[in-house]
Amino acid sequence: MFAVIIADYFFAIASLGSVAEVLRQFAVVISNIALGLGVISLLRIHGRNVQRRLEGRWLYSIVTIITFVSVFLLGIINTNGDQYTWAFNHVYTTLQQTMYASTGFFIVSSAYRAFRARNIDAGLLLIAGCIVVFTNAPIGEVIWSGFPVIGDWLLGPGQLPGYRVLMMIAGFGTIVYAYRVITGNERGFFGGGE
Amino acid sequence: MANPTIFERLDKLDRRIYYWLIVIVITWPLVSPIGLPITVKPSTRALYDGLTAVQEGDVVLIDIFMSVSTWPECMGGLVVETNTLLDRGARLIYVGNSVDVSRSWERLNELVPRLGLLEYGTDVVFLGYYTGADAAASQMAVDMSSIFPADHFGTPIDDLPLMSDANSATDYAMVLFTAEGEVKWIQQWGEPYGVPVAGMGIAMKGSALAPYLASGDIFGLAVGVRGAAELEKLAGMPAAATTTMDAISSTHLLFVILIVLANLPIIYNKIKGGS
Amino acid sequence: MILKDGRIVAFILLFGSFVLYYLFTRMMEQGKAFKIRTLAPLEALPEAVGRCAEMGKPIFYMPGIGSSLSLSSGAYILAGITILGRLAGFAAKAGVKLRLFTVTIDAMPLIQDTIKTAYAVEGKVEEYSDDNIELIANQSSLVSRYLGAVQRESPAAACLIGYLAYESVVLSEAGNIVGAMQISGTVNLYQIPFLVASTDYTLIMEELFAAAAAVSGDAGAVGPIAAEDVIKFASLGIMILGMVLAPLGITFLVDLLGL
Repeated sequence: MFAVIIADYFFAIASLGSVAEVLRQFAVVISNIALGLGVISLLRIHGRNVQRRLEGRWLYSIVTIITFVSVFLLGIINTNGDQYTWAFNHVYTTLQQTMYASTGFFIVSSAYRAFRARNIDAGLLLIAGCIVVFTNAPIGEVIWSGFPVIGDWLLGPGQLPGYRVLMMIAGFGTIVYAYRVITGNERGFFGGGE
Repeated sequence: MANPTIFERLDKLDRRIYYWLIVIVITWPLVSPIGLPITVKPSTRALYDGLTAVQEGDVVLIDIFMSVSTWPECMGGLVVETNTLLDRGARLIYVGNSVDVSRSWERLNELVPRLGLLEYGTDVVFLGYYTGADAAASQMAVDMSSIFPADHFGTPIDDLPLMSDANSATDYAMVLFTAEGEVKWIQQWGEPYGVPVAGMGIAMKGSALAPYLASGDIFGLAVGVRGAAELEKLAGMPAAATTTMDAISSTHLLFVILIVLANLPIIYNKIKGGS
Repeated sequence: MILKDGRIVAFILLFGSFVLYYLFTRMMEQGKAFKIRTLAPLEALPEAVGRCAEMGKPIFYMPGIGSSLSLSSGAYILAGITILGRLAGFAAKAGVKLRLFTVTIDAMPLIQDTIKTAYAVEGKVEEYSDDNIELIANQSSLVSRYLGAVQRESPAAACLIGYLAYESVVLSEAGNIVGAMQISGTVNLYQIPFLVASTDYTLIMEELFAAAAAVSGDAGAVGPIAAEDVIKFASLGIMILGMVLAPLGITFLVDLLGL
């Protein structure tokens, strides 16, 4: 199957294209099935937590199950309904944004601890980091007009070579993984030990 | 035990102190804006120029990959993109690889009321959520209807006049990504079919997207809140992103000040000759 | 022309890579030993477990987010789970509690199986418990749950190895707050700086695959990694050649690669 998809990319053969089309649709369908599988797994695992009154967790599992079932039922009834929309707008949206916003605090905390010039390398990293920070903020240009110039260079030609190397390496790794999946050497998703 | 010196206190500064400082410096400019000038980066200008080069009737695919958590970074830019493309008379098709894409669509409609005034199905279509990432993008390039037999609202795709003009990649003038997911569009639409690709990334992805911009795989890029603010400036539509830039400035300044403070103990120890 | 324009050389290179992978795998099956260099994060796993054993605290593991079936995240999650197998073996041997947090629903059976197998190999299958593996609904919930667990249980070590997104900085900093030793690894480019700054050991990019291959020791895993070194040297040679030719205005290499 993989060989067909790969061959379709390289070879201009009409019949191959048709088969590849069908296989791509299979892939999309399987992705959708994974959603259903996820729901079943989630309910099974959390249901078991509740059943066994797992200490420290079973109450959260009840909340998970009740939340899931209630929003699911609301969605089944009417995805454009007021209650469903309310749950999405005022619970999900708010919580998601809150958790993502907490990243900012942790980044500052991490920077305060890690951005210390203990040696020359760390010092250079520190200086580059500060310049890029001021490049992103309009106040940087107000403080010194050189910040955006140096910062744009760092974000462009300064870091591009390194990033391109890393991207190529990631690409090589993906090709290896693809090879192992095609040849059946990647048995990770089948589980089981030696 | 001797009282700790100021440098020792700085070395072990309680994180709650600077967490509160962050809250203050974020909130203050939002309440009392400063209005610092914003310079537009070449990559953002290239994106905007690409949008304004669209001809009337061109079909543009917009992938809303952002979740609600990245609205502050990307929604402003998406609003500008939508308004600019509508000004040019483009026809827009929205899809999304994020489970909350319907919420993002609703929010976009709140911020761009003229979307609701368009003739749905002819000028704009919202196809909704899709799974499969690269496989889906690859298949969409060949046959959109195989991935979307109906739009988000359940209307069969054959009943949407716009979709008869836009069933494969070659029918599209460009594809715009939002927040993430740029790789699949570059690999499945840009490279094989030559469809121009551009979009917005979250601030974290700025560095990761730069190689694609440098190699020409994407023709324009707006990154983070700053990118959205730059787009707003170019379009003459200052909105939330522009307002947020003052908070960005104050927070970044605090960030650098904290880093300087964090390094004072090291400098002090070096002067003292300690480790 | 049966091959599509602009993809001829790419096809040759890809096919050539596959041939190399096959050859190196066969060489390894026939006894040639390819050794993956020492990876400090991998070497630190027993140290992390030892720290937990001394302090009487658990070790946390998070194999990343996303789906194991996805192209963008699947390979890395599976690599993380392979490394989890080794860590689980160390933890079983030392009697350290291994707590795992995941949102990868489709990999749950694999994770359970991996840990259980590791415990069985150490003869401690009765100490294995599904209760130590937590499945969380989504990314943001994972962040919230992990933060709470770290504060309550104060692990002495934590491993964040797999496909990581924005939660990497939050989870790693949470570990730092409680003074945990942290080992991380991801292929997600823009998260690597956060992990390098926040954790003690980091597997960067392909080191994640190499570590997983080193753990499995399988010829089908190590052989291609060795072949990749040859491919990287070849790529380096092409790049150097291009660097020399480009300023001279000689474009044959670019034209050749674009065939």
